[in-house]
Amino acid sequence: MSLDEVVGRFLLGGSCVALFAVAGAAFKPKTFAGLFGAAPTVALVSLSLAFDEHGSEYVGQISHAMILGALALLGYSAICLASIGRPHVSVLLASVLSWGAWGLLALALHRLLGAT
Amino acid sequence: VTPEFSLHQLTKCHWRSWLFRFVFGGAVAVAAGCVAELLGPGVGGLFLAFPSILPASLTLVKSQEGRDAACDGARGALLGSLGMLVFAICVWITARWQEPVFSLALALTAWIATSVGAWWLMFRGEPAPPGHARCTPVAGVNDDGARHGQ
Repeated sequence: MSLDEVVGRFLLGGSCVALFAVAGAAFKPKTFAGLFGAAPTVALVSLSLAFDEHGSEYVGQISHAMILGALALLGYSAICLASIGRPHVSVLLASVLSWGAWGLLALALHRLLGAT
Repeated sequence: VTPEFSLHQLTKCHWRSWLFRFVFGGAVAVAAGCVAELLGPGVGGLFLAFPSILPASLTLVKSQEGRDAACDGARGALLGSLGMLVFAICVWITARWQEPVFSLALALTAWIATSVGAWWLMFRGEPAPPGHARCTPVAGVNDDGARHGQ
């Protein structure tokens, strides 16, 4: 990946994430705003670039893996909800530590169901 | 309860929180690309569903509106995750036989329809905010003393 590609990916990814975050912050109630916390921001940017650079066959492979990542995201959100609902648990700590759970779930699903 | 869009809400957030999300979102997009390049699309694709916004959003909501509001945000994110799954399935199905723009537009529409549809099914009968008390065990009392509103 060239420096230009890294910079382009960074700017596009950052803009897309910030845009969806703004949309989420402007909505009430919080249950609705929360939808934007799981918006496909990075996916939109990465898949657009993947279509352009590698073609549809590659996007088919990467989106298959994304299905597994999204299943792990469902698990992440459920763990987050369960942990931050407990009094005296730091929201930041719980949501960051849950990244570990997302990683484990994603890798387990990749092992079980990932395309070779 | 009906969703409301108000730009006034944005004034509550410090510019640093937006900058953080921009930098972090950009870093995750670069990391996802690097992983896909190094380890192949089978692993790199997993990171397209990485929860990049959520920790910052929940922390911000908790600091401004209390734990109950953060729990509400997490409940919404759970439904958004369902939409993300449908988004990924849509791209997987349509990538090989549709134009990229059409494939991504269809997937984004599917994410919106699934997320908003699930939200409507789950929360249409809820009373209006502020200050939902669904996470804390004792109604009307926040563990951290944040404003509750009931």
